[in-house]
Amino acid sequence: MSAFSAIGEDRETDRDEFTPGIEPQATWCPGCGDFGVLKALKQAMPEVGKNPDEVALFTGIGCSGKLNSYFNSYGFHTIHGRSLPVARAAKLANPELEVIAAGGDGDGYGIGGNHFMHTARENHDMTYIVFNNEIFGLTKGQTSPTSPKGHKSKTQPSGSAKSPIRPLSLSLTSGATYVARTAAVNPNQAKEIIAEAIEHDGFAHIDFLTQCPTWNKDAKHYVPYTDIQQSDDYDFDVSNREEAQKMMFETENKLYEGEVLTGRYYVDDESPSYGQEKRATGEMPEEPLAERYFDEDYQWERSADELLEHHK
Amino acid sequence: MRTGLDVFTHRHYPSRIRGGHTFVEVRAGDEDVRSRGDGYNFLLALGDSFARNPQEEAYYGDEEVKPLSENLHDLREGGVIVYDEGLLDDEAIAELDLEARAEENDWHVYPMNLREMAREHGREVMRNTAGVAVTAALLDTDPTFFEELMRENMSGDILEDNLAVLEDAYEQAQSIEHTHDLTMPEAADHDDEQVLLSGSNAIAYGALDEGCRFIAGYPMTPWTDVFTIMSQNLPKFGGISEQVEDEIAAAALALGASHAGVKSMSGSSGGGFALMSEPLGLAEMTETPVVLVEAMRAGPSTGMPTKPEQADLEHVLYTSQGDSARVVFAPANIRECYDQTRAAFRIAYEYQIPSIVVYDQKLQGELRNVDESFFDREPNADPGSVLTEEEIAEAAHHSSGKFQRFQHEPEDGSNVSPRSVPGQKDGRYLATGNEHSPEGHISEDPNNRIAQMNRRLDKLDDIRADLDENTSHQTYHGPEDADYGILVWGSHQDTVFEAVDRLNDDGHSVKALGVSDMMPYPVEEVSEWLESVDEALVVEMNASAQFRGLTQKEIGRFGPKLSSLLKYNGNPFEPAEIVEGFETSINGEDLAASNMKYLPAAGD
Repeated sequence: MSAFSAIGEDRETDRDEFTPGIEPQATWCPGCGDFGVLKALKQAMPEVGKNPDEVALFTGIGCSGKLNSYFNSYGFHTIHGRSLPVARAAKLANPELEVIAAGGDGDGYGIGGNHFMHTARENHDMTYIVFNNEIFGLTKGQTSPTSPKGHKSKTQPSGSAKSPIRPLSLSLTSGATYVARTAAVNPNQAKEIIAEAIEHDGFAHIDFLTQCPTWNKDAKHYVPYTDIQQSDDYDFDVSNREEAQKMMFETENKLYEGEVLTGRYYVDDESPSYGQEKRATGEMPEEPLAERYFDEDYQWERSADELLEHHK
Repeated sequence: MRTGLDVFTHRHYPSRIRGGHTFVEVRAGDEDVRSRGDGYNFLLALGDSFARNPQEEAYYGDEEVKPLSENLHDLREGGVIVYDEGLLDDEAIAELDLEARAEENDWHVYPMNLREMAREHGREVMRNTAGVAVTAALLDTDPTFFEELMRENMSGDILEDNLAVLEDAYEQAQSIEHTHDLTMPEAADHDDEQVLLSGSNAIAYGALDEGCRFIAGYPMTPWTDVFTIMSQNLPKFGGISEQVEDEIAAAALALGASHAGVKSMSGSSGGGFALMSEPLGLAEMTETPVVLVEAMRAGPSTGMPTKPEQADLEHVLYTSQGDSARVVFAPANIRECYDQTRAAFRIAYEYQIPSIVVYDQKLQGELRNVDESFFDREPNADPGSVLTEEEIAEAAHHSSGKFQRFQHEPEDGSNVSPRSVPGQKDGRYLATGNEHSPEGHISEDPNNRIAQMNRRLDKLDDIRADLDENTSHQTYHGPEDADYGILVWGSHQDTVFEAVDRLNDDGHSVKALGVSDMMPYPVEEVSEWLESVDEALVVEMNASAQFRGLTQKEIGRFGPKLSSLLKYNGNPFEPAEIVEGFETSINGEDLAASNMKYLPAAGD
């Protein structure tokens, strides 16, 4: 008997269940791309058959971090840049949980860049959504790691001298096994990509272009966009690392030339997830560890029985 | 220890990639050995196998001769010296003026060709075995204990070669003329079987027995010890260990696993612990239970990585923004490491608060014998104030269905609002580092703010009352009616106790109090004790008298009674130094020793 009966509960769910009655309306600016993420995430949930009590959503700090105020599930609004290490440990503690992490481009590619690289490398079975608006929004428009070179802001008055991060390439190089880019203006594709990412057994990274009409008027709402899977101009194999790499490079370049490319870039269904690897080496129990603390019959091991012999 | 002796060891080693002057002090006696003691009686100088070629003006000096030369000033009168004449030539010995100094101090010098014995039967590295055998022979100790240890830990040719070296070296040393009187003390019988372990072992075993099954860490001396012991044993206990990208991640992982229902820990040393400040604050704000270990080494910054110090006290008490709501225990010895780590987990999970166990490089690596029966305890894996789904169904929810995880006034009248665990039906709530409503949603309402702040901070009063009622982590030593007191915290407690015994034997009237509860501070207990003495000397290993400062801040009226004896040169106190410091404090004279600092009382 599981102590977590919400997990795997056999029932139909509805997207409205994921709207919290306590704070149903988000306070993002009118026209903000973040609404698109919230909507797509809610829509994806019934598709993957999840209910609010089996989903744990971990966010960082920023406009995007407010996502779990407006999404009804177990939520953990952590600290700036650190949603991934908190989230991946929750997954290790209870692999049956549906773990999703989310944050902005400053949160994930800047201050939390180290965690992004390492969580991808470890290939934890979880979904990571990065709200990429190429700007720091909540702190009022400073240049971010994805802002284009030359971007002027109050903190970069002469224009940024730095080249932007290449989020898709970084993700692939780091070890993510599902890499996609979508945009808030493309809700159907976004929903489908989120559902695929959740169902993917490994680290699934979605770079989600979220226009910031308040602080980043240059980004023009990421329209028009092209879905690379739908377009005849692009033909490549998403399971082929080299082809994916080329496509990512081109996509990242084109964004700054004003052309928005979206879609799936890399899907590796073969590599085992971190949990699988760790169980295979005998360093992680088969049963979810979290269950043990509710099991009244479990015989807890003692150091006196197991460890004192070699101290004699 | 197998001979029945009580044992205490301290490791000295430099922060070097390879080599350098590395040595272990071993003190053995027929009764409870509580500290490294003062100086030593027997010096086995094996020589430095990794010594660089001696050069004029070399930065590290002549390393080859250091094992002999560096420790001579601490060798007692009548002491014994064994050095490897296969490694040190006559010229080096002549330069040390060893003969004259030996005569002056009545030292007994035995040059032995350990290198040759090792090479004859095996390999160069077996000089160690030869040295042990010579020591055994010169101290009149049965070598079969060493033989037994080798048989348990070695096999094949390596075992055979070592046994041959042991036998040969023992015989050679026995056959030479012994001019000294020193022998191994007679062993006292222990009623219980003894186990030999370190403070790090005890912290790890305490954590495991209290149901900890998750650790995340990043290597850093001396914290690496606990992390390694846990990582090697957790798989046997069905737990998980994670070595991660940095200490921010390490602490964040411990929070994540704990949030999801597993009893978890992390830890580091000074600089790494600094990185944990923000996750630590998040644990305070979200009331996520977690245990962190801080293994102190000499600071600031990289400091002296392999040397002990107690200068991170203020760091662990106050790091992270906002008002602190955490528990900090500073165990003083192996037993306290075990007990207080268990208490740290129990408190953390019952009260939903981060607990920190702070110890130092001294206690981390020091080996002492403890009754095996001490560890014969019931495990406790209780996850604390967590609800089952049946209980959640009955618990308070917001009208929209969210579970009220952070109630202003929990139903049982305590300050602990029970938590749910992700995956439990109808338990969903929001945890956030922002100030939050009972459901965990972000709130800046002034009344809510006051209610939540008060509840979180008031838990510290509840924990103080709990500790006062259930267990005292403070340790009293010496005659109750003594005129003077010595106040101490952490790993120097037992050294102070040894000094107190010596002082009383010499006619002084002094007692000691070892304090382990750094937060919440045992105000009543310490006040009562300070009331009972005329003056108290506070002994600690830092340069700014942090524990004395804490005591004055917490109690606020004993400043004129408190003087300080401070040491921060990287070497633990010896009992004689505390005796000297105490005598200075009551005589009002200047401290003669230059390796310590005495600060007279200065008021509050």
